Amino acid sequence: MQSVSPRRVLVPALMLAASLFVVAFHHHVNFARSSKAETTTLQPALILWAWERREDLTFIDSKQISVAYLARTIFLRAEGVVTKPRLQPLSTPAGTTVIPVARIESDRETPPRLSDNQARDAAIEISQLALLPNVLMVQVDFDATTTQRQFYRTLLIELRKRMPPATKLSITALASWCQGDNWLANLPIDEAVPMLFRMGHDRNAILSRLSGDGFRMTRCESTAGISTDEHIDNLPAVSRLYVFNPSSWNRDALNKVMETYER
Amino acid sequence: MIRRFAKLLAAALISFLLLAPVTAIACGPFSLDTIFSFTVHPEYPLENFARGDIGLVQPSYARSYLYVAYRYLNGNSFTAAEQNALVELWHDRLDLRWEPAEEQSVKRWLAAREKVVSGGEAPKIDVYRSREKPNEYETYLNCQKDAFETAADTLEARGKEWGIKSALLKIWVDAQDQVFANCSEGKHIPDLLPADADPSGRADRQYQIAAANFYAANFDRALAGFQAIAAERSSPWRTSAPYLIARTFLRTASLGRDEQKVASLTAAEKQLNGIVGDKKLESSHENARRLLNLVRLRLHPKDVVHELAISLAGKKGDPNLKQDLWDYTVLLDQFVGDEPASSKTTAAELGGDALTDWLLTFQSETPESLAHAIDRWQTTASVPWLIAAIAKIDSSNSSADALKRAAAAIPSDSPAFPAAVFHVARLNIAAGRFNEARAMLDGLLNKHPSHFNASTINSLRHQRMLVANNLDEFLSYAQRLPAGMSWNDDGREIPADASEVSENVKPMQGKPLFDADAAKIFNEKIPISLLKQAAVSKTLPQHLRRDVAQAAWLRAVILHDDVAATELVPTLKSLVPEMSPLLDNFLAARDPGAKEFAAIYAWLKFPGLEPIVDTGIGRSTPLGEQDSYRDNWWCSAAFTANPDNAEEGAKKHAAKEEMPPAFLTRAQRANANKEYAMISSLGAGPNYISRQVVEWATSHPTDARVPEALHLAVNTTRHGCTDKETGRWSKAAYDFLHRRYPNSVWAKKTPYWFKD
Repeated sequence: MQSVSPRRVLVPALMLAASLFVVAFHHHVNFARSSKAETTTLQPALILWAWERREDLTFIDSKQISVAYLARTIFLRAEGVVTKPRLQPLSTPAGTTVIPVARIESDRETPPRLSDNQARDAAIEISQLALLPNVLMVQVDFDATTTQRQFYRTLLIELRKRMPPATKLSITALASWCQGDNWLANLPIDEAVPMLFRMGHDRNAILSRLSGDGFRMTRCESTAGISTDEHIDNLPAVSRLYVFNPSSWNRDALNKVMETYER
Repeated sequence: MIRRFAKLLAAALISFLLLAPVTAIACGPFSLDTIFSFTVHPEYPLENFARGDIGLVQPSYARSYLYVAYRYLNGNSFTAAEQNALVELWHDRLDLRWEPAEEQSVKRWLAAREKVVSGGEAPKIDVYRSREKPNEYETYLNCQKDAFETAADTLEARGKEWGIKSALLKIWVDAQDQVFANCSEGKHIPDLLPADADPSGRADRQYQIAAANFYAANFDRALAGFQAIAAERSSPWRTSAPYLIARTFLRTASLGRDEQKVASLTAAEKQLNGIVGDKKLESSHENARRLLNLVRLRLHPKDVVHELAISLAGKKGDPNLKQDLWDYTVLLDQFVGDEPASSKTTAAELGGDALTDWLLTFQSETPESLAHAIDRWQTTASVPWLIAAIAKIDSSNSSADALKRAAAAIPSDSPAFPAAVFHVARLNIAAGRFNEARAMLDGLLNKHPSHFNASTINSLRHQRMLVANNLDEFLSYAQRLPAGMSWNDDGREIPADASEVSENVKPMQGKPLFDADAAKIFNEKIPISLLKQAAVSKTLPQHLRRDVAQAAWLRAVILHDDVAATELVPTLKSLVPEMSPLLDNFLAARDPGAKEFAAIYAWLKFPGLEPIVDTGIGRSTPLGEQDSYRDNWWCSAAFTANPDNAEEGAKKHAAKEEMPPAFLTRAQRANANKEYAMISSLGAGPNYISRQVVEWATSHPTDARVPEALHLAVNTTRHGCTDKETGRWSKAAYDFLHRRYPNSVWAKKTPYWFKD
């Protein structure tokens, strides 16, 4: 009798596939990286998303908490790329590990061409975030419909090429990408953060998956992104937890997160 | 130029200093939401709302919409220009519009410069600068449009005065390059010109040095420089300098030490008041007034909220409506946040004006807000307070009848009419006056449909559904035309572009669908006996009958109601002909157990079957195909939704717990409750299916379908909804398959089982 859970077989297989992938790409672009071992060493493991609003996070303990802050919004418009830098105040204790986040928006009135040149230009804009102080990782936040995936793949490849090798690359991921959607598999990223909030009418399916297999065997296995206004009962034990707060952070909101998720 | 500069400065600084109400974070899978009634903003096109078609105003609308509703409820209106300004504001926020306004001005400056310094690479100018430690992750718009316009104008003038090829002009440009080099980083300060240099060149250089210090964040030096220029009677910049002194104070307040802020803002206010009061500085008055508004916004925000509220509520033809409403709503967000009930700031503390009081009261859900709304209505007899009060009240309140009478008297051409009639009907239903409600709603929906937008019609149809006389009426009002479809991945309820809609969903566009309230009633309040009738009712279009029929059949199977399941087969075959062979097998089965297995076998092959009716578009993958995102073999009812944990977006569109439709008998309600309790106790669909397959396989190991069914059962645990029990059933099916049929093709196709 073969009592084998898929993990036992597939993890070595995936590791082999990953190593072949690394070899295959190494000669061309030096972006292929292992994911879990490296990203899980990034500390602190509780990360607060600080979006484009006034955020005074001077109350956090920088040994326990990192800050992923919206640093740039990249608008894709026709063939062009328009960058809006963060214009809202952000205060953190000295030495806080920060993750600058670049949010990518497609212009509604002038839809983007999504060309390779546009992907490259956007990557150049985002890569500058890696040069900021105390930055070990850059995160890209985007929505990719099926037809836009090739564009974002190109963008991430271009971005990986332009970032210092030691700087990690993170993306936010629709939860559905983390449950059996293979497009994350060969992206040059160190982590994909499944967004476990505002999940629409697939919420039950996603939470069901979480209560069972979790997001194992995907790039999403070691992280999760949650919101303070949507409690997740069966949150898997992830090594890095990102938390969004619909309004500016304060000590009470943070304490509640730490109590609820035992951080 | 000056006006543009001031407007830009004001907008940029407000955005810098205050909340940004248009932020969004993306999340969720890409699934198209059907919106029957918009909750965050009115339905598109927003121009309709701006011109007074306000429909059933929702307290959950953003405050800029509620302000517009207030104006219309009060009998006021907006000019065409104001309506355009409103729509522009809404789209700026909803579409996250961002225009790099400096780009053209930078180009103009570089073009002017190119005429003097031909050849060589033009300097790269980035207008944003990062702050110093400990604020190094913040950026601010340092060099604004007006700086480049002024530089280009001055260069043109000096070219005429000194000569385009003159050495003086060349060194002027070199100095200006240094000034703009500070825009993004560093401290690049030009040197003073020698005492014997051209006087106008020296005056310009003095101004360039002060400006360079300003952009390099050397505010003390910039201040001293501008003060010296203001005192220099011969300087062509002396009339501009007082305004720049005020700007330096303001910049110090924004970027300097916290303890400096109030003093710097106070100094800026004093300086600007001095400019406005000085006729000799008339050329700076307009700029100074705008900057003064901004300074007051920061120094006396509560006063400004109050002043803006008075201005917004009273004026018609406000040329600054967009900016005023922008500032007002941003300040309210700052003081009150999303939830007025939990805010420490009250309307009274913000000046007690009628607009702010109404907005915060209308949005609040506390009992105190109802009492206040009733009190204000009784005192003022005004329509806005009537709507605020009746929207909150329940039928048992002693003021309910008086409010109903007042609302019923609202004329049909009033902007308040949709809200008034909706709440009168709601109160009648809650009070058990079904006949009154029915007659009223029939009159509204049949005689006045043009008075209502799609969101309001759907809200009225919801009420009419509750007081349906019979199943046919219920089915008639349960189906509604969506007010919009949206990816809604960030809660903004932005309608989806037609080009973004998938081929599977396109056929559903423009067709009636079930809203969440109707689906909830189908799934929890209506027994199989009535679902059977619904499945054949011509009141429902075919695509809805199909959904009801599959739900009814599968529910009957799960609940072992063989008679109902058998009776439903002809209907299901006609609506889902691709299931016919499997349904024939179901009919041919000799005993209840065989029938059940035949049904389970069919379910294994049709992952889209669910014992429930879907909301909106629902599952768009064909019934016989596996959904890529694991919406297979029934998910939704496997989990009892906890409203406290539900996502924010879902809460707004979720069906509230409502009374069962009036036509249901007591016995029908009891049966429905019993059926729902059984269905919702089953857990995840794949667990139930696998258990049934294993049980049948154990008792009928020679059934030729069994190996395949075991394989498919394991497959459901991989591609369907799962929970902590799934591994157990996956393993059981896997073990049985490999133990009993080790050499079958199905065993070979099943190398793994799936566990948590």
